Amino acid sequence: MRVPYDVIRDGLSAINEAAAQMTAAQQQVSTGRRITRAGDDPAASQAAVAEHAAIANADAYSRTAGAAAGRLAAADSMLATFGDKLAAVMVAALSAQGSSTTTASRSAAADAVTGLRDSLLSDINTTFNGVSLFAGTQSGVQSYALVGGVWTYQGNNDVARVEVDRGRLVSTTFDGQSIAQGTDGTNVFNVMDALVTAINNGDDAGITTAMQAVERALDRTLRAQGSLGADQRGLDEAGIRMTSLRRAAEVRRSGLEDANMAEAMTRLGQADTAYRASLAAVSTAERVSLLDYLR
Amino acid sequence: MSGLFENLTMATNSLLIQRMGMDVVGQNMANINTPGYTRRSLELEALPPVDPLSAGRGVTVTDIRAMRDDLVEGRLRREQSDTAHDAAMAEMIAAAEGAIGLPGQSLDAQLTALFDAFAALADDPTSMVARDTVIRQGRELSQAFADLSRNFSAIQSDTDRAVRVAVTDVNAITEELARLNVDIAQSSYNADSIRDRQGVLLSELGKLTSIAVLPRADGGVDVALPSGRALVIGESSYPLETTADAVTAVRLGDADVTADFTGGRLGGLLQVRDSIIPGYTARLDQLAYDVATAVNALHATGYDLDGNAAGTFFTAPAAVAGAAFSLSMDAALLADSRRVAASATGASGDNGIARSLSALRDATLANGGTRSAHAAWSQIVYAVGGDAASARAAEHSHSQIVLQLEQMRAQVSGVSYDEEAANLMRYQRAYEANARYFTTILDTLDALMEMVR
Repeated sequence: MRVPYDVIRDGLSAINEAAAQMTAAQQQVSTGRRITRAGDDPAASQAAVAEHAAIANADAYSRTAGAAAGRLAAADSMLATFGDKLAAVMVAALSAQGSSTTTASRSAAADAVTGLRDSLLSDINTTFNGVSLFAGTQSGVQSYALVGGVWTYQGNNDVARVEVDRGRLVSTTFDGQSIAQGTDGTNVFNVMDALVTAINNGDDAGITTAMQAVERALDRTLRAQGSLGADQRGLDEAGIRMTSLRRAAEVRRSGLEDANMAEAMTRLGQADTAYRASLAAVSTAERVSLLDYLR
Repeated sequence: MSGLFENLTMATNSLLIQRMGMDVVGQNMANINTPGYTRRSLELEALPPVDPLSAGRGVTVTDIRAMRDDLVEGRLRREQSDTAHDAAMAEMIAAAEGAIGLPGQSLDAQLTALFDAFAALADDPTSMVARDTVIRQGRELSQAFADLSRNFSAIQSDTDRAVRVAVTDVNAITEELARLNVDIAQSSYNADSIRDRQGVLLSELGKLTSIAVLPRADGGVDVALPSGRALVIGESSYPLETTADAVTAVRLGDADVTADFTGGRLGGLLQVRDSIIPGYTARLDQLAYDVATAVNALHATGYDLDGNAAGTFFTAPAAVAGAAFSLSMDAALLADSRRVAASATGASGDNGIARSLSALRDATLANGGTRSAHAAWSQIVYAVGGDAASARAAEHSHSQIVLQLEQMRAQVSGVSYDEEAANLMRYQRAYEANARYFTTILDTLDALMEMVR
């Protein structure tokens, strides 16, 4: 059989093939990526889009949880203080009740209640990044303000919620009225004003009525604190879950997109050997012909 | 019995023929790198004796034959056509592959960024920074859709230009083939050289489009498209024409023959231009339409920062076709980020709409409500990547077959240094032997003349 050797057809195509393999291996080693274009592995590229989305999703939930955590911590701190101060109001009211009280002691108790009222108002008007935490979804207002000589709720009864995991919502603003008033006829701040009047007048029945209202407010505060605590635990759980989901998605993404460096280095070595071998083979094949031996 | 003078004539003739052999070797060696050249072989035949006491009258040349295997040539042409078809597709789809980028760094990243911006707005619905970020990401997503659509259009235009060039090349080749048909019919001695050129042209034409080659009795060829429409008949060629439309149509006479080109580079280019790229564009338009419609539908139910009913987020696309290219943000929204709807109730601190817009990242809003936006994008990535990989694999596979067929062709038609060197030595030795024979006869004649003196 005649086998004419053509350096372009036979030699160069072998060299090109080996060079292409070496370039591909070198690209994997230098970039660390197994996929440098969608056609390298279409199915893996498609799956990688989903993994990138899953990672971004977990990151978005984590960012939201981080932002919510700050608000919940501020609200939790406020509610704890709020409860303590309501308890202090009850102590002050109790000290002003009974036949052994004097005008001076009642006046002192009334001053204490007035001071506590102002402090409680400051608490419920707490803002976080300029937003009232206890005005529902109403922004740009204080939760409670004096309107026509009466303490009046300025917010609304909605709450803003954010999603910290798929389908898991936590509140980031709160309905101040549901804490300060609930189903009572008036809010705890007006009750405290009435309490101050009752203390100054030595009106034990009035003091008792006010104390009962303050106690209900304390109860609502504790319930709100409990609910907030559940949300905080939910945040922690969501955070752990997001970290775990993200790590799993990152592992899958890496498996799809990243080069196995040991394998890539081995391939590069093989491709380099193949390239050198093809050059040597072409050089050897081209070196001699019968013409060299004819004289 | 032949006489000494006949012996001299025979030796002279033989010397000429051995030199002719060296001529053939020289021609083969000279054309060893000439594309399409087929090895020539000197065909010799012994001249028979004229009487019973004669050994024969020497040697004669019956032919200088071009060693050609038409079967292999035909198969090679078909495989070259398939290789060129796949190479054209791989070349053009690679451009689309570059345009779609890598996972996590392309349109999917812009989709993610927009949904992240809505999530940040839900975290802080009154924040002007969050609102400005939503506007910026919406604009960048619109830009990403438009850029990708423009890239697909540019690839389509480049492919269209390549179609025009290929048609021009086809016409130049068919014109020369018709001219060669005339030359072959008129030629008495160099038909093989003309047929070598004819082979090169048929090979080049086969790379441009699938063809049917019909040999003529005189060695010329008629060429037709696979549909039967003639490109060359004898001395006449029938040029293709391209229309000046936005998308070029190919005409042969009065007929639109664009659909006849299914093979070769032209077939690959037309498939990319008329089917593959429009397919990508349609998917992209559908995704842009679905995203814009879903975002608009939610956004329009919300309220802006001032408690006013919100409008659309994107300019509502008029139709699916062209939605990606024309996607843009609502002008009023662009001018004032307070108009972004975050609230579902009208209360400025409510984040119901922003939260719902953020949740669209998981919603099956695309492809008739069956896929999320990211999943629809990943389908486009798979389609482009799959087409590119298939075209490259097919090109590689066909090019390997072409290599094998070229080696088969070379076994018949190729020039070998070793073989030509051996032939050169053979003719040289034969020439020397015949020269010696010639001088021996001359010496014999001299001896005979001495006897006479």
